[in-house]
Amino acid sequence: MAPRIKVENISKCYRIGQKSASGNDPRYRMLRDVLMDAVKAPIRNLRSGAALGRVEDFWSLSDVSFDVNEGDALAIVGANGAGKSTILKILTQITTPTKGRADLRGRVGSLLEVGTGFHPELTGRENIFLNGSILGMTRSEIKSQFDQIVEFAGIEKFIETPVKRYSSGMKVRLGFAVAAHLDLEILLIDEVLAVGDAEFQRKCLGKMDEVAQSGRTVLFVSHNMAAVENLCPRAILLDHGKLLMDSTSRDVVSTYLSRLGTTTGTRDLTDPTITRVGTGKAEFEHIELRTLTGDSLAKLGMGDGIHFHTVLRAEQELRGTFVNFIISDARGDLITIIHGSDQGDTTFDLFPGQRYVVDCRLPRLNLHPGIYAVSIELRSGYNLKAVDFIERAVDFEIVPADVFGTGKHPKKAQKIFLESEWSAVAAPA
Amino acid sequence: MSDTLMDDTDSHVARAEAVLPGSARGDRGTVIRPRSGWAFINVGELWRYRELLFFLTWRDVKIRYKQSLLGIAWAVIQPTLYMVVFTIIFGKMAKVPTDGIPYPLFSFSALILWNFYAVAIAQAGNSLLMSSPLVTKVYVPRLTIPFASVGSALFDFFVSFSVLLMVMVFYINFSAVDTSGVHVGPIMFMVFPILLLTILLALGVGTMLAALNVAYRDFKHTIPFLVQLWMFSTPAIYMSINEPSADAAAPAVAQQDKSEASVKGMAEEKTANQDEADTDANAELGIWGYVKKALQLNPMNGLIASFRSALLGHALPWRELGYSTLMVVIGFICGCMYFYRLEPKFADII
Repeated sequence: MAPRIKVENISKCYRIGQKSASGNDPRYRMLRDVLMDAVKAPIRNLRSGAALGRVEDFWSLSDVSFDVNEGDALAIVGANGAGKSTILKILTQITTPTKGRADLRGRVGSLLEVGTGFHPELTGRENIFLNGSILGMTRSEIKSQFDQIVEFAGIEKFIETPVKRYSSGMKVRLGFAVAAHLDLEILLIDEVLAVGDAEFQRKCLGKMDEVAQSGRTVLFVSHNMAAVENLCPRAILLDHGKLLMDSTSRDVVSTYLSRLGTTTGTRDLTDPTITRVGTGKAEFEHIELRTLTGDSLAKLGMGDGIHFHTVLRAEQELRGTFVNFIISDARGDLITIIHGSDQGDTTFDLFPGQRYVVDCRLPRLNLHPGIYAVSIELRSGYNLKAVDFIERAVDFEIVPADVFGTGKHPKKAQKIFLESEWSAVAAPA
Repeated sequence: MSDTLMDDTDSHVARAEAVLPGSARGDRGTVIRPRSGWAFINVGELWRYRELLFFLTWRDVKIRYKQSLLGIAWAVIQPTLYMVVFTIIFGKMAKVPTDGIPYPLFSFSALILWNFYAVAIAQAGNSLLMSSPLVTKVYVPRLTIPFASVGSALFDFFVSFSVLLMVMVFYINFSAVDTSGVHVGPIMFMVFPILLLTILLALGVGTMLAALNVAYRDFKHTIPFLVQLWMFSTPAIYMSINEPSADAAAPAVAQQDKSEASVKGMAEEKTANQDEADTDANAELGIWGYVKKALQLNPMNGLIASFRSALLGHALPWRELGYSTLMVVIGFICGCMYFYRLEPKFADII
């Protein structure tokens, strides 16, 4: 039987690099830039000899091929910027490949974001119909599934309430509930489990498992290795747009983990291949991990302090913004979130066109040896959507150290360690 | 010369193409591959997504009037206020020719069609930016997004159109104003094909503005100005284009002057003075001639004049209507083609 998804030599090229004549980001070009470029280009070309040298082709994907059979669940694993999201965007037809070809047999549903098209002014009922039709369901399909969707989301009482009065958890639940009831042959899913409370995440995983078991084809992109191993028997590993490995998810995950920790602890976040989520009103440009004395580092000993240094640029005015640093382990499990607004009033205001440097120092990082990743998030107030969020922006490694001054390295069975004071005396008789 | 995402060369322009090997649901398949060059509307795909088009239109209508005190009345208030202003300025002060139709009726019948068109292109022009998650997070045929904006403007049109019909009934039966210029008859049904042409034009211009707005953010600021300017270049809204007005007659006189001058110029020996006069006449004709020609390019003039004539029972300006139809077809095709041309890049540049 022919595979459900057949991907043949897919490549995707972005043209990047040079900023336009006025220095604006090429994604937000003004007509002025185009005109200025048109005027300046001949002169520039004369000076530089050729225009070609100034153009940089960036291959976000090159020659990726794989098949997925009916009833298979395939995970796509790789670092941020490896091309995972690009693959999903091509298969969902959101963007188009530069080369290659993909055949999808069956109706395709995608879940790259929960609740796409939700409108805050509309009620839960109205949004179910709107969101369902955006995801490709017909009106009669939505009608017949309506009660199950409402029940799955657990919002029976609020079905006639405008969604703007929902808590963010309710919105996510409603969005996932609609998507979970898509009756399609192929389902493409991206990291939607990153949101929602633990109980709902379990519910989602259960539903996705059910979907995969029912003979439908699932393509799953995630940084959560536990979810990958649980849901998908098979996985592919992408690295810098190339297919590195196509094997069982256990093998792929262990290869992925063994390749981590090779970064330098600093990253340019203006790289267009980086996957980011947010309103775009301000964006991170740079992140750097440092020692407390200011040296750049990617490796530190147990119990050492760490300094997060990040630069961001505002496009619009924002009030009450703060940065969160999210530390997770190599497998994608959350360790802790260092909230920028929890420790007193540390929020700040942003003004358009201005760059801001945000520093956060932790005097002591009580982590056991291993690879960890830092995700960064910029928020303004408590809106549902982050201003900018970059998952696993940078990695660092903790190496064993004699942290308790005993001449021994503490055992590495767990992730965090805590200082402790002990006494053991005989209880009074 | 290209150096950004925007300037992809043809070899990099790619488009996914959906094919339907069978109509049964399980047989649906999609082939994704690069495709270059120009393409025209994928009607089959648009038809399959007709329910989405309906839902997006319904969403736009619903959102517009939620939490607003006057609600749907806003669809009527705007053209009504314009009507009052126009009646004072053009009807009372300037006394422009109206073919014997009371000025409020004359301007209101034009204004509701104009208002539909203006709202439709402004909304469609901003539609993609307003719904950017629909472009970057999910696949829907992108053309449905500006089309839905035109659809919701059409809803408003029907609301104000029913108000217009009531105003007409009032004028003809219950008012003391002379309505001898109004002859309601079966020609009234011509408003529907004329409306259809206006919808097509709004779709073409709206989709083009939407695509331009994604590529160049300038259009966000340009669209309101463009709508305003377009209104001024549509004199049919506030005056009759049938009778030659004083302004229209002036260039004709200039034309005569000019031909006399050139005949004289050929017969006699040219002097410096004559040369100067000749150039002056030419320049004057040049500017007004070009302005008039430019205004004639505007299909809304013919559409609005025809709409009003059909509604109020006057002879249709067939020549203008035919010319407008041609422009509408060209506008619709160009707008959609440009949209489709840029569509593969939307998600990358929005």
